[in-house]
Amino acid sequence: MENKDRARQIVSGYKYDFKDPEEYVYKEEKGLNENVIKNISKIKKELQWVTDFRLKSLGIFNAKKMPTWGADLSKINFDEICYYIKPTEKLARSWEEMPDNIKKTWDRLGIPEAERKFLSGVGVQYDSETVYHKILKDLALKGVVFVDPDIGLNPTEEKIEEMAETLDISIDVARRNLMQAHEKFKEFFSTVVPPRDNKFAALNSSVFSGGSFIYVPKGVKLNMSMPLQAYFRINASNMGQFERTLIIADEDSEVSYLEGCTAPVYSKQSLHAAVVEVVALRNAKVRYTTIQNWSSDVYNLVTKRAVAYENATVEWVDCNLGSSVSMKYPSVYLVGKGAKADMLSVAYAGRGQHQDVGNKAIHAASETSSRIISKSVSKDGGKSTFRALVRIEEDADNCKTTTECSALLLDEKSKTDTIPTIEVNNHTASANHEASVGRLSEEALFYLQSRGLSDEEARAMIVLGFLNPIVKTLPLEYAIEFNKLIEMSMEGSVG
Amino acid sequence: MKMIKICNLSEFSDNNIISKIVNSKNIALVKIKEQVFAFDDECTHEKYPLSHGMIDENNGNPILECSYHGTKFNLKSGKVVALPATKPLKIYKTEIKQGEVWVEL
Ligand code: FES
Repeated sequence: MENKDRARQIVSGYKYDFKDPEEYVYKEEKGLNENVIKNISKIKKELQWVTDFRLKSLGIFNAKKMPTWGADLSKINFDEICYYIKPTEKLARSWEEMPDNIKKTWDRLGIPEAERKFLSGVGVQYDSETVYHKILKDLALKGVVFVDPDIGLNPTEEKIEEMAETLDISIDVARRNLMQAHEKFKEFFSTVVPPRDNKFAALNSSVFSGGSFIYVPKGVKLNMSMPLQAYFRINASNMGQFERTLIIADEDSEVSYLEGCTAPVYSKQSLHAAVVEVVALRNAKVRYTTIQNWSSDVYNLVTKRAVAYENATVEWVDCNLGSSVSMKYPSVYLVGKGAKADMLSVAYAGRGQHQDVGNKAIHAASETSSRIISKSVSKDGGKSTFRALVRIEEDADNCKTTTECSALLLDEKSKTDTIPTIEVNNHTASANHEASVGRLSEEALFYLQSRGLSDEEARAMIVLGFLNPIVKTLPLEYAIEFNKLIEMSMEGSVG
Repeated sequence: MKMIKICNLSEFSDNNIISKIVNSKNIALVKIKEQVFAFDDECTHEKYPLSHGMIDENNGNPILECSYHGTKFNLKSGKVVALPATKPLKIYKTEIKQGEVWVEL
């Protein structure tokens, strides 16, 4: 990219700051009440039990207090937020079918090209609804389902026919896939993160829309280096996006899922309150990667939780670059003997940002293991807080856990806090914890500059090296993009 | 273990959980369609009282939902059917004899 272009982007501070005109087929009034929920449910033609679930969740949301720990959320005004915007009438079967303004967004973000090159499937969400969902035909023939949760909740004949046409499979195969997945959906939906879990899980449960539902049947292993990708875009201002994702990896299956998110910069707040539930059944493996790059006016308050059964493995890779405030603590409940959790996270907090992130591992079965590795960089007065909770239950024998968190402060104004909690209730456990906070090493800077790098380049290189152990776990294309974003954020960091 | 008389059946209205202290233990009881279930009145998640919870049904199984963080227990088996609790709930055997509710403790 030309230096001038890059400089312009840095001045604007955010390369995803392009807005499309607000065009939609339905937009709900601002504010949250029973009518809003009934309207959403009516538009989606939902079954009565789903409407009841939403209304009950609204009651829970209203009754629960705002969290008083963690980041400052006092400026969120729930009455000023729009809870539902439907961008298009129906799901597009191809990129060409999409309205021009929306298609342009995905082209600029490079999604269709990525789909052609290295993805097993793509789902994209624009404001409140997914507008496109597709997987490779051979995966569909193996029974893999990757659809909007609305379809998981209620796979109507119309949806079955649409899916058959989009994926070029027979109606019988589409029906078999969706009905099989629907049974699992009913079994696990809202059992990992129930609405009462916390205020924002209740909010999501009352107004959820969009997201992904993935079901991978027994024994089906997807190529871990060709993820299923979802992309979430908020376009409207003062908008709340409340997607709901449920991934069920059946016994002996494998799947990698990657999500990215961006929004244009407005001066008004937007809210992203997603719920993600992951179920890894016996011997299954799930990798869930997030590259969060919301604009600086988005509150990102997400509940992500996985449950791992016997010998299952769950990996969370969580990269947080954007948003004004993030509160997000992906967790794994290890409920089956021999289950494993691997959680890697990166947080970058720049001017005006607070990244309050971390992980949780609950060892509820014997011989389970968890590893939490977190790295954060704070710059220009940004604040990063890392929280970890590891609990080993009394009857969980021979468990192992490691927590490592390191923070890099790039200037005097920035802040970092590390709050790990490790509760060991069984004497056969082995638990390790390491934490470090550091500043840029003058010695390393001097060394790199003596090799001909400018001060700015040397700083960027040290930061990239610091984050590299986690970034290198990303698919190559994303690792490159991620490094570019960090380099851009680092420009102007001298002095 | 022995059967102890706890209360009369007439004290129950359907799906309404009541709480009793027996042998210095907090026991919760609920009548669902002519059957009485007795269980520890303490959630295995963070020990809040389950007598504040709600009763539901799933595929013919009686389900108890904790009103604090939403854990769901199957009242027949005590199994957790929705997180965040991970440990099962202790369920006690009950009998109804001539309008009286007896619990094995
Ligand atoms: S105390 Fe019952 S779910 Fe937390």
